[in-house]
Amino acid sequence: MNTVLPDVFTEVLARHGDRVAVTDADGSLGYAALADRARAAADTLARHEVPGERLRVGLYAANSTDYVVGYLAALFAGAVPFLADSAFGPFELSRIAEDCGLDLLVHAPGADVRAVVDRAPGDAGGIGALGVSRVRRYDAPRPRLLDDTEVCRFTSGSTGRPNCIEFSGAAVSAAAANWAKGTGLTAGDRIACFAALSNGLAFNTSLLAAFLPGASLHLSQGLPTASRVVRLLEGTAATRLVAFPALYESIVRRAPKEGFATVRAAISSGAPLRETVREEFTRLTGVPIHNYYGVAEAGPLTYAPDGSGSGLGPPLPGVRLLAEEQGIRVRSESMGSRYLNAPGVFEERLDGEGYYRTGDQGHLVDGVLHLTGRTSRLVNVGGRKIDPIEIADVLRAAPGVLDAVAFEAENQHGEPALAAVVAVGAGVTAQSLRTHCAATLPSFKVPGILRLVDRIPANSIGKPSVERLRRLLGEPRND
Amino acid sequence: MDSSALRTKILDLAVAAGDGSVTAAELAGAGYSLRDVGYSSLSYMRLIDSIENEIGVYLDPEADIEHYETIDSVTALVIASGTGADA
Repeated sequence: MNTVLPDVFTEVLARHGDRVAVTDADGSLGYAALADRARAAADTLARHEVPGERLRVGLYAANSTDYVVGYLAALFAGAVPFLADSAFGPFELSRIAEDCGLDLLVHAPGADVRAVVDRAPGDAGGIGALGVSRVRRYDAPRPRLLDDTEVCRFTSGSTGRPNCIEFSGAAVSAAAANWAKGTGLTAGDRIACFAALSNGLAFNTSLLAAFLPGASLHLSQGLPTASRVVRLLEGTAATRLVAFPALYESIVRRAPKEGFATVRAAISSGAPLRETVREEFTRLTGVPIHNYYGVAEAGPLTYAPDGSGSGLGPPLPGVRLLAEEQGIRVRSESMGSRYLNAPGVFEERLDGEGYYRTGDQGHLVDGVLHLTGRTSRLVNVGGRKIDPIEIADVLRAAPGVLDAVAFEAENQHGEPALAAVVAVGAGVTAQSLRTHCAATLPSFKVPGILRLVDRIPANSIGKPSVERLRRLLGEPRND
Repeated sequence: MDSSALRTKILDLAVAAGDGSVTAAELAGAGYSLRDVGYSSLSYMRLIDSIENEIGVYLDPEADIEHYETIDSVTALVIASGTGADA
């Protein structure tokens, strides 16, 4: 089998030698040291090879140098890395492990992996501080990977089953090369990345893209509050900041007076950034925020090089983008191939010419993309997409619940949040519902706004009226 | 500010930093556990920012998350960080 990524990484790691490749709070690795560590870790993984099959290695951890080592190790071992959001809970993790047929899981030592690991965590070795565990065997046969699949990532599916996107090595390589070229990344860049490497924002802008020109990648764990960001920027003399809108909101709240002297560009994606936040951030720091538009299934698609205005910029190299009345369609060199665990679903979103229907609506003005809305029902909270039907189903299953509707609403800070209005019988409290949700859903899927009622307000044809539901949230509570 | 006033202040900030659904009464009913009322990571970010802005204490969110799970543990963390309370 001809793989692409092991050769690409081998070449860049050798080419940039002693330059700094990646750092975190615990240390730093040069390109040569990263190659050595990854090769050694690849040997650890390869011990668990299954004859005639490529190993499937789940990466379930927060950002760290060890994470990058683990990712490269999987590639060098001829395995397929599956990049899972470390915020996923036991339910999603078990769905991923079973649906995708994972063999091994790389995870933080304290992570709760009991849902998928029968033996003592770390039984298959370790990669730095991360444990490697063998995943439980499931009865169902696992789906076959496409021959050219080299990396798998996840996107919000429905009913708690994240869809697993298969990417060819050529697509991953093209995403990074086109991003590096389209945004002018150079060897002198130092990228402070606060988005999870499993997420498209960081995966596409940082994981391979940073290494192609010999730039350095600086990682941080924990909540990315303004103070932490400033500390990392000052400590690394970062030239680029990669983050979700919530971090820019935090910086505007804290209004730091220093820390941004070396930063030339801030990159925001994942959720809409409020115009007031963008303007205030740039006023405070002198740094422009560059929008980027990407879709999990199609990779990075646009970049706003001037960093002003609400436009998302023109298409990146290798991207063809059509913005029409029925929605935005894209074809890119960085397209995924299909969903491993949802046969036919990805293919249904492709038209006859191979364009992917993104579910977003917008238009091009002088070649610059402007988004105007979504045709999909997903709620975007802080860059994570949530299916409100899944949340309503979980709420309806709680004892004493008569009906439930989940939807997007503005919270008291004017930000999009997940809201739920729940019709309940006697004895049900907001607290009991939150506890019920938290037992099966990861924390980001527990509704931040919860309102208990006797009956769900409906419109004239008996359907829940979202307008009345939103109005209800503004009324005084009686629960 | 004594520790009781500090705790009250942090409770107020925690309610204000939430999405709008969590009340002080609800927090009391949950034993003042932020985790048990479904406090999100975005809410934690707002709370830490407001503690830094209004109490003048820099909190390191890299510290173990247990320090942020209840109003009392956050209060203890603020006191341990060297200012905010004199009793």
